Amino acid sequence: MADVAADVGTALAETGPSVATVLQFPVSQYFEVLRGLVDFTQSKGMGMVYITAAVPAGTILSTFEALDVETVNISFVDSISQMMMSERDDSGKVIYVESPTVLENIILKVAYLMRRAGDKKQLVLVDSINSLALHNDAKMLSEFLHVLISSLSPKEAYPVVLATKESMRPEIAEMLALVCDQVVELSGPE
Amino acid sequence: MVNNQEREKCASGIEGLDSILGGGFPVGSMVLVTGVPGVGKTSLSLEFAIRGAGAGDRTLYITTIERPEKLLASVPEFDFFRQDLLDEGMLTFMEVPELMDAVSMRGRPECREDVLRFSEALSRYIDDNGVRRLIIDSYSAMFHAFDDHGVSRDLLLMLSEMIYRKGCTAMLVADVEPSSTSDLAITATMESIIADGVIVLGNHQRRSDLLRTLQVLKMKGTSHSRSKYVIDLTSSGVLITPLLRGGA
Repeated sequence: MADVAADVGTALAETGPSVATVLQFPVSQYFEVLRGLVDFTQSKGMGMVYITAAVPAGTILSTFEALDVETVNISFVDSISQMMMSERDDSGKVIYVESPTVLENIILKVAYLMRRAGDKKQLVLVDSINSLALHNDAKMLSEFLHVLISSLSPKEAYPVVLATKESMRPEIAEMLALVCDQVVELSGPE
Repeated sequence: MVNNQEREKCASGIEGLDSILGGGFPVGSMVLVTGVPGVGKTSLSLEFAIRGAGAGDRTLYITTIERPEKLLASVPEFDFFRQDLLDEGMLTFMEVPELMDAVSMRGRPECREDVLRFSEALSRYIDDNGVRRLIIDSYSAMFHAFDDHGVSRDLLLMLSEMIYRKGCTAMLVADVEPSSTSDLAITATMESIIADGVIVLGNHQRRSDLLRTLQVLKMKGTSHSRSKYVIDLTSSGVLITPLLRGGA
């Protein structure tokens, strides 16, 4: 039986920093993939900048708490709550962006959190490319990822893009293959 | 006197801006920072001042709208601000009457003679204190009582000559009305023609989103990007990233 969380850690450890990695997986494995990413950052003593375009950061934080996942080193850039007029999280861990269409502001908030983190290495997670693709066309997304990944490269961050198999459109898959350095296919338990 | 052949750069200290400018402003430049209210002109100027003072450039910040105490109340929010810059005189905030030793004045010059006295007082202050960076915020508000636009342009010409000779780099904040001319048309104004550099801060509407933008329209003595960038005003300073075009 595949251990998806362990596979995530292995894939990232093998490639090292500054390699833009797409993790493609069945949606049923979503939380296993997240667990793998959190475990990886903890094992490396890194922080995580979590860009969410699918689910409000407050919901992710609550889920992590329920799953006993440590969140102390995670900061969020939430691009969905304001657009959906969801409740704001007041833990101080979340920065809000007006909507998933202001991609430049997402880049700037990541830059701000990277600056605040100082020398501490970060994994920058885009969750998910499918959600961003609901609001932006492939050309905008490719430019967004290109600028984001380029800005992270000198900081030796780990750029990771989540992609769920079920909702992957061909033009998005093509764009990811062009812009990112590697696509890691993760499968769930048989 | 600044050597024109090898014009030294005055790094603004604003990371993204310095890369747009190829390292910074040419020393001795007079740069106009212009835009509608609320786009970040004062934040940009404050960062230029604080980072400059922190890097060892004695800096004078002349306020013409807000009282220095009010501006000073906002600077500790910047995580790059240090109180010792004020205590040791590396960074000075001042109103026009204080500079001219004319406490009876109502905050800004009221006649052509006042403008001349202001220019002389500023020249003396720069020499006496070794000022390397000068900010006037806002330059345009200094002249709101004047019908004769020639007065502000005369002062601009005097300032331009003065700061170039002294090797001081100046940032002048100029407000434009929201209904005013387009960003590119700003370069055609007399003030922009006189200035060595023009930075336009503005808003970019994309569908229902409004983005704050920065564009360097002109900077003599350096090769620079003329593209539009998106900015964010944060406690870590002004952050800058390219405006995405989406293949357009």
